[in-house]
Amino acid sequence: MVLAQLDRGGSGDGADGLSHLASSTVAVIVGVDGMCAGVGTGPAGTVPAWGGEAVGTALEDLQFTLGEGPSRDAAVTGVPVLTPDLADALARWPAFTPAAMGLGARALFVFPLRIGAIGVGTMLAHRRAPGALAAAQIADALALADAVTLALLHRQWSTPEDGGQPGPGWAQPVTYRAEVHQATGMVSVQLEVNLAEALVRLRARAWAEDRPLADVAADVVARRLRFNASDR
Amino acid sequence: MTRERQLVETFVEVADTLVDDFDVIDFLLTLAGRCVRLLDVDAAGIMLIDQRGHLHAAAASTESARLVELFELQTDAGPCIDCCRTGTPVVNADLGANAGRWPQFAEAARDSGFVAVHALPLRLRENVIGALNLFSAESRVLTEDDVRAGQALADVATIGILAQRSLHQAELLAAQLQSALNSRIVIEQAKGVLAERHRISVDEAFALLREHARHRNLRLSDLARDVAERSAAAAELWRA
Repeated sequence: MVLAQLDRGGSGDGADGLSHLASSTVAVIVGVDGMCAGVGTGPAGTVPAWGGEAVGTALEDLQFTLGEGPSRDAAVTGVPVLTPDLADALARWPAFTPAAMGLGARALFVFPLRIGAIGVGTMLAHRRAPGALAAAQIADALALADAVTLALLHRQWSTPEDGGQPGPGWAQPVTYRAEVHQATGMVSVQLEVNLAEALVRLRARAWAEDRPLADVAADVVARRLRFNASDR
Repeated sequence: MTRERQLVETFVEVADTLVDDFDVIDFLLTLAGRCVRLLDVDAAGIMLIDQRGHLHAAAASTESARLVELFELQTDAGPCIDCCRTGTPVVNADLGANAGRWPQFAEAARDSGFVAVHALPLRLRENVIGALNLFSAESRVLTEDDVRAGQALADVATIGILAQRSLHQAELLAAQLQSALNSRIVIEQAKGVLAERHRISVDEAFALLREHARHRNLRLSDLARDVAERSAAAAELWRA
């Protein structure tokens, strides 16, 4: 449902699907009180990139100021940090936890936005009452995290020739085939770019040729297709 | 050595690797190798299923592109996905007799020289997180004892995937699974980087990566990340 909305948004009027996706709507679907996503995986914290509700933004600011919190942990470890009851997290984040509870958050769920070694940022969801996410809600959040990751990658690395636009169907998960990731590594060496840009180039090629990403990736791995720096 | 003895040694060996900060993919690779020897099959793979129901090969006894493809083909139809959906083992499935049940998979598996396939669930209470997939090139029937031993090995794989933290909630299960799947993606990216850098196949790139990790006593996932990010720590492998 969320992904269908992203897909629709991706085909059209200049903005990418992500800007069409109201974080408040998604929060209702996932079953939380607020969601937002930020770009950045370093000690400097994240820059807001999606969703902008007050509590989420304040929670990110807090982590930046205090130098601790679930988004930082998720960015460093690459593992979702799921805290159904913040009251249990006092020992883990002694400064952040009381401040976050002061903002009215009682449960926090942070999902890393990453594809293998490509780290983009983190997605944060909060609840005003303690409570664990159900398995289906986690599945929705993970699917959403994949789609947001791709949208942010395209925002950051697309060139004007790509139209800055991922094509229809771009919200389909990238993580399905091993060859896509192998091809990403190969293209990054061919073009002397980082993995993030290599993946965007690979997807742009598939989009331009109207072929499945997996097919283009298979051609790269079989060395039937090379990317040249001059093609960029 | 009797099989009981070999099984005991395998369990002791894997228990030793389940220390703090162990590398889950490396652990599963070792386990897949042991499955081939202990169960007298020709190939073994440990498959994880993600939240969307897609199967991912986390580790295989032989990391050949062809074998990985066979694993991945089963997302649509195959013994692994049947096993994951029902939580029950698929044993001694003849690839000729099951051609109608999994047409695409059965044909690809036969083309790779296999005649029989088995899948044992990776179970945690009510959850199925994946399957241990076994292939035989000869028609040798897995006995009840084989299946019991195989299920024990599948259970060890489950423990390894989830062991990094104690597990009480679906949330942690999802986190651990996600983490294992992401580690695998890093390895695929690193294979691609090395394959292109040295003009070798991705299979050779994997062998290079794993051998280097062993010789230098590095965690496979850490080394793969260093290669993927071209960090100075992997310079030796980059130049090699």
